[in-house]
Amino acid sequence: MGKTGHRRRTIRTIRTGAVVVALAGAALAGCSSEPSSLLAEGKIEIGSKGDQPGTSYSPHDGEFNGFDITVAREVLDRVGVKVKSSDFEGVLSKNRARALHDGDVQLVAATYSITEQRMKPTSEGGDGLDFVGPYASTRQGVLVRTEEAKRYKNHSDLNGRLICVWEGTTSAAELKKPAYSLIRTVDMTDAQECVKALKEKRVDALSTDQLILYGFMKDDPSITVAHALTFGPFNDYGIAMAKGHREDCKKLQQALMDYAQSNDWDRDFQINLPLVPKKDRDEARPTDDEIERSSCLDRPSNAKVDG
Amino acid sequence: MSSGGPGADRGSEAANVTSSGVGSSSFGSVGDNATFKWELKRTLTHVAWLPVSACLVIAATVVFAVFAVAQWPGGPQNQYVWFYVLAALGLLAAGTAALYPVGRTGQIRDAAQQVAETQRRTTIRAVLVGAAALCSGGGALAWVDVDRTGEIGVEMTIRGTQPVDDTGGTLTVMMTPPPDGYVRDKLRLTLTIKDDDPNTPTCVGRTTATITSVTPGITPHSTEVPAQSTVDFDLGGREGAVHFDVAVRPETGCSMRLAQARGTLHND
Repeated sequence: MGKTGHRRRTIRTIRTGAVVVALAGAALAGCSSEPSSLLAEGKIEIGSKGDQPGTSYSPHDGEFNGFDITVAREVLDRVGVKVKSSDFEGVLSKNRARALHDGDVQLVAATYSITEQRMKPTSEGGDGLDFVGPYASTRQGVLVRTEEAKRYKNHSDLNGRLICVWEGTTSAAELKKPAYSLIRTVDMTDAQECVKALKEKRVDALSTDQLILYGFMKDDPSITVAHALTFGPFNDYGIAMAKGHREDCKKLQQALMDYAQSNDWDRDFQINLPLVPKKDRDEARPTDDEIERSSCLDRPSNAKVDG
Repeated sequence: MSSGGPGADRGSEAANVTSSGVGSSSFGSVGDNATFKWELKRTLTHVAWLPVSACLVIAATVVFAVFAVAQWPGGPQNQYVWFYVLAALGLLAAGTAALYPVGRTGQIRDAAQQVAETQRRTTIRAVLVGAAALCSGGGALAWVDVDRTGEIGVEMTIRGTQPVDDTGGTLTVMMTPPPDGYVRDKLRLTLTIKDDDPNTPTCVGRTTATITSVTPGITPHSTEVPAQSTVDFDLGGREGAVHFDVAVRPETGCSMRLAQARGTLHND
């Protein structure tokens, strides 16, 4: 009886210990500060635009193409995630951050510019996004009717002209600066409305990121990018994700660096945006240093300074 | 007070009169033969010297802390760690000594044990008071050391037209002279250049600046830096105001702002 009782007590103690260890392990796993990996399940939802031929375009439901889409596919493929067309879904510019925070999509690849405000954590009043990028860079450009393209050789040729911009774009903000006070602007709701107004001669030109304009130009030969006319700062495009997945972000950053240095980047850029001149294509291509100083950070990082 | 104090023992008129009692010790005589003597029944440690000393240490620490706050030299907080720790330990030890009970008679069975317990407690209190005094003194010395040789924050003023657009622009950064006595060898200057509008594409990674010392005798005379940078300048024994020119060079289309200039004087 004594020996049996002692053995039972020992077994009970071992069982209790095992349960405590198991519960503690589970609790520690649950308390981990880094949420589960976005890449672990091998499936991911990506937000993209549907109205920008060449960059983010959806010709019909369930199909997406353009340079943003290709970059997302290539980078994810390099970390072992195969992406299908059905993994992409349309997001509006103004809803991109919310779609990420609400978990509707896990990544956004939609000509999403890297800005200080977007990189800043929400606790500091920012949008709380991590970017993997830039995967392409471009300045603001001007799109005009093809038959009038030869008129536009320098910025002064825009003086007195009516340029269409749409809300929230860099162009809209840039053209309001005193340096462009002689240029008239009209705000419309989106790119398509501006393109329509240009073709119907209600405006003289439209302005937004030059890479996007080259996409419109390929889609419709009646409109042309005024190559010489660029303004504003470089817009650096990044793949965005909600903060809290730094490990995934770093993996994607490395994958992007590998991709951007390979011939694949050049090939994909030319396939999606064939009308971009080589000089602009070279400017659009990111260096490792540029990717390092903009990716997976809470604030933009410094330029390299010699000495 | 008279010759007939507590316990007075009077014999003949010419006989000695002895008086004793609790209180401060004193000796005196009345007439030729009458003397009285107060004998101290308690040793000095029995009197309130220890709590009084503890309170004095607390008072001295608090007074020095008020002085330190009023004369605070600034600079990074980590250099004040010893001051904070020692002052806190001093106050803690002195407070414990002041409040430490003399004895717990209820638990002591006989007089001998009580005496031993009281002695033990007195020793602990004395050690606490000593430790408190040492800690508070050490804390004060630590603060004085920072005040004389530590890092001091100095006010830097930015002047010039902002934001700086892509044509570039030069701003002036001036160091307000620190109060007399705050002489240090070097100035650590930290500049933060940011996008004028955080909602526009960031140009931080595409902006550089050149810092040039306008005040003579400062090295390096000129240095090129990125948007967020820290540079150490050797002041060459200079005590007065120091001026720098900061030439900001944003890339095409960028508009930047020198948002912050922080200065720290130090000897390292």
